[in-house]
Amino acid sequence: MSITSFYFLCFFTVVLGLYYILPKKLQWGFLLFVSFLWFMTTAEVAESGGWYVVLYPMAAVAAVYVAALLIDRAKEQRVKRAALICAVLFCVGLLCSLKFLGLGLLVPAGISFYTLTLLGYLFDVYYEIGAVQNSYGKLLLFGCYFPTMVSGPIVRYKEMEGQLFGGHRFDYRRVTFGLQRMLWGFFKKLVIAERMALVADQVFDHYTEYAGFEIWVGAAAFTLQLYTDFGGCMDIVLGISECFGITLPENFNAPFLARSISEYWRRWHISLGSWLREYLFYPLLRTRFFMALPGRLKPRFGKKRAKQITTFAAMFLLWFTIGYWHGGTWNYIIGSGLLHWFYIVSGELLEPWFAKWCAAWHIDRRKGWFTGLQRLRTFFLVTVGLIFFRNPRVPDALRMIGRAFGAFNPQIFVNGTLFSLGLDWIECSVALVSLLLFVSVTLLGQKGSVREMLERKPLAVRWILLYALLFYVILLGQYGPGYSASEFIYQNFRA
Amino acid sequence: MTKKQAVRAILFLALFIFILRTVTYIIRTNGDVKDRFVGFYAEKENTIDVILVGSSPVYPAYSAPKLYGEFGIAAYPLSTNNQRPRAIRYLLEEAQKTQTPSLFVIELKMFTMPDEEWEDTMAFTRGVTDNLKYSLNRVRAINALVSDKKERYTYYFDIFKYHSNWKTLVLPSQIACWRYEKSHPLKGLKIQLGVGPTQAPDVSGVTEAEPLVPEQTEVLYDLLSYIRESGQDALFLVSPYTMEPEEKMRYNYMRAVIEEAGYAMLDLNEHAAETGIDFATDFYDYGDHVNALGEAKCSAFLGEYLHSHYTLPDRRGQDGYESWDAAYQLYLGQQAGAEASCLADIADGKWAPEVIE
Repeated sequence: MSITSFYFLCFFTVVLGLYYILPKKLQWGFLLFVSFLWFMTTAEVAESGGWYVVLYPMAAVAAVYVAALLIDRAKEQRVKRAALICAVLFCVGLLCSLKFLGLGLLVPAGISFYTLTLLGYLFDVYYEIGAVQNSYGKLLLFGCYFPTMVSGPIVRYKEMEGQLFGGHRFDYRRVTFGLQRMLWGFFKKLVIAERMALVADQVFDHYTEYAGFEIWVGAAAFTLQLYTDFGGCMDIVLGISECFGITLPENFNAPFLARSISEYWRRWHISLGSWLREYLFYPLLRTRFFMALPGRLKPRFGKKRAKQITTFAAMFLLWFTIGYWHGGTWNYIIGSGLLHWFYIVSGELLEPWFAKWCAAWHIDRRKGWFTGLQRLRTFFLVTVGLIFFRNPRVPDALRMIGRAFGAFNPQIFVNGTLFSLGLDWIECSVALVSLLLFVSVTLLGQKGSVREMLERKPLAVRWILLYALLFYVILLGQYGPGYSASEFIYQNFRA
Repeated sequence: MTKKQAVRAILFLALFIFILRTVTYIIRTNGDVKDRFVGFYAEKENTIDVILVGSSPVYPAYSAPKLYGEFGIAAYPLSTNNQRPRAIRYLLEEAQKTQTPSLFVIELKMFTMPDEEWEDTMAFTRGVTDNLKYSLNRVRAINALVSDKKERYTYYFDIFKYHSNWKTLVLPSQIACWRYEKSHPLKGLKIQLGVGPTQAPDVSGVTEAEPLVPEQTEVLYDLLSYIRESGQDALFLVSPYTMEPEEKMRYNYMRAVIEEAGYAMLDLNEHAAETGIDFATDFYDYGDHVNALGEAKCSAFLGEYLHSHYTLPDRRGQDGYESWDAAYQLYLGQQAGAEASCLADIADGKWAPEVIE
């Protein structure tokens, strides 16, 4: 059951109603029940009848539950470490064997997300920065809370503990805020992402017929598609959870306002970035090998450079992992991993020269136009990465980039060619207006909560704006019979 | 939640439903079927005495303005393309919400075919369901016509289908349908131009009966029982077309069932001499549907038949029928032009384009 489907909205309405009828004590149990109910309606289970996949998250949670209890109660460090290693190997083994080894087994929805969520909890218990959960049922809910199973975010136990199990009273404001957030998500997904998909599919699937700006338009469309698709999904997920009184962490913060690739990764898929930083990158740097590496490199490169090389090496592993997590093939490893590592490393290495160059040309890097250029650069670099990401094979991506640089044809913007890339002029206009609206609201969001701004408006204005957005989505969204809305792109990474 | 918040939420939802309904009515696909149905809903209450239902042979063959102008009969066709017989009882039910017809005229052609042939084509089902106003009867019609339960919601909330028509939101003709009521100048008639000659069928020797497919038999019995319970009279009609012998056998079967139930069945093919239908000139698509020349003959024959077999009031000159007078005058003008066009085509040997292909 896709979260943009009619049936999901019915399911959500009923569940929300029942949730607030129940006493607070029973609410977490109800959410657990609902999470498994949703799990059983996911395409993976519904289409195959493979109800047994529900055992995978239950087993992963059981392993983490037992390990956390052992870690908490054991006195010897050796036992704690053994419990940690066993649980990690079990969970990662399960993830890899189901997701990457292609054993032909049914893969449960959200396996990547719940595995990382559970391991994060376990590491927190191990490093004694998080409390242990004594109830298997509650830990099961933490791992498998249904909104996060769609495409994340990867949640931290300490953020969720009080919210998930404490119970909530109906709060009109919070529920309306949640619904508004969902509406904004539907706008991004159904109006923008699905339109961008038409252009991206046309150009990527027939890239040999296009060159120059045609390729760049298609690639930019895919970047926008991915962002509005994933971002829209997050808005819906966070909105759903907000309706239940549970605030999930933000996964995006206007990533294309980032002035550099490192900043971009602090704004894009934030929960994955912070998880990998805290539970992979920093522990990696604390391993014997990486602790010793600067000392070994120092005689040859000097102290500063030796430290830098060590960091870059650890980052290489981090980015390789990010790329691998997205799909395990080279197009993902390069497109969302190593290429970004290269951007960041080269950015850091070239920074002193760039600073000197700017000083020599009297360029004030604080100026608005310069910031604008940096943001465009971020968009461009990410787009190049996504050409690898979107193409199934690396040689295709390279050929596509070659064709993109191989022709200069700005005339496509005036001679009508643009309207042959999947959207006619009316649909292009709708896409453009929608993107302008999206950008305006995103910029407004940098100044504070847009929903709070809306809340301060008179009732009539508020309702007019809400109805306008509601019917904009209903009328201009791409859905319904004869139209098959694609899945959320990041759903593919959940399993 | 405070009382004020509850009231506000209910108001928001009510307004949303109202706008959604209005927008859906406007953007439902425009065309002659929509025009016919919005025209029906726009009719003054309790002014129509005869309701015609059935598939595409109905709306080009029987002229409501002519029936009114020449016989005083107020009739209206609730006809759609390939109208599935299963839909008929819901159309009759819908008609009786605003009208008190004393006679139902039911065209039978679709009963000769298996229903499953048409269910797969969504458009034929939607022709009925998506031209009804929102009501419980509409929900029942959808439940009866759409067997795939998972898909029914797209029929209940047909905005799922028609939202892509958003560009038509600015058309004045569409905006005028905001209540799904817009007067039809010809009371549902579609005058067909063009001539597609064919041979007259000869099935007069076919006297055997062949049962319908089981689901259509069930629908026929169910319909007869519905009509009996409603207390109205009914006439079952077969329009002129190039009938095959197997079809004639099914009509024979239906005649026995219908007459046994106490209703009449009128097969215009059996009255070709009286209607004056000429298969060489009176069809626009080579034997399936009549053109303006055929329509004049079918309407005259049906009018005469109704006049002589049923007690229907003469509505001419009565208050509330001014739009019918106007429709008749408009009809006379358009019909004369259409007939002249058909005759010119015949004189020139200019046949409808489909045959050339």
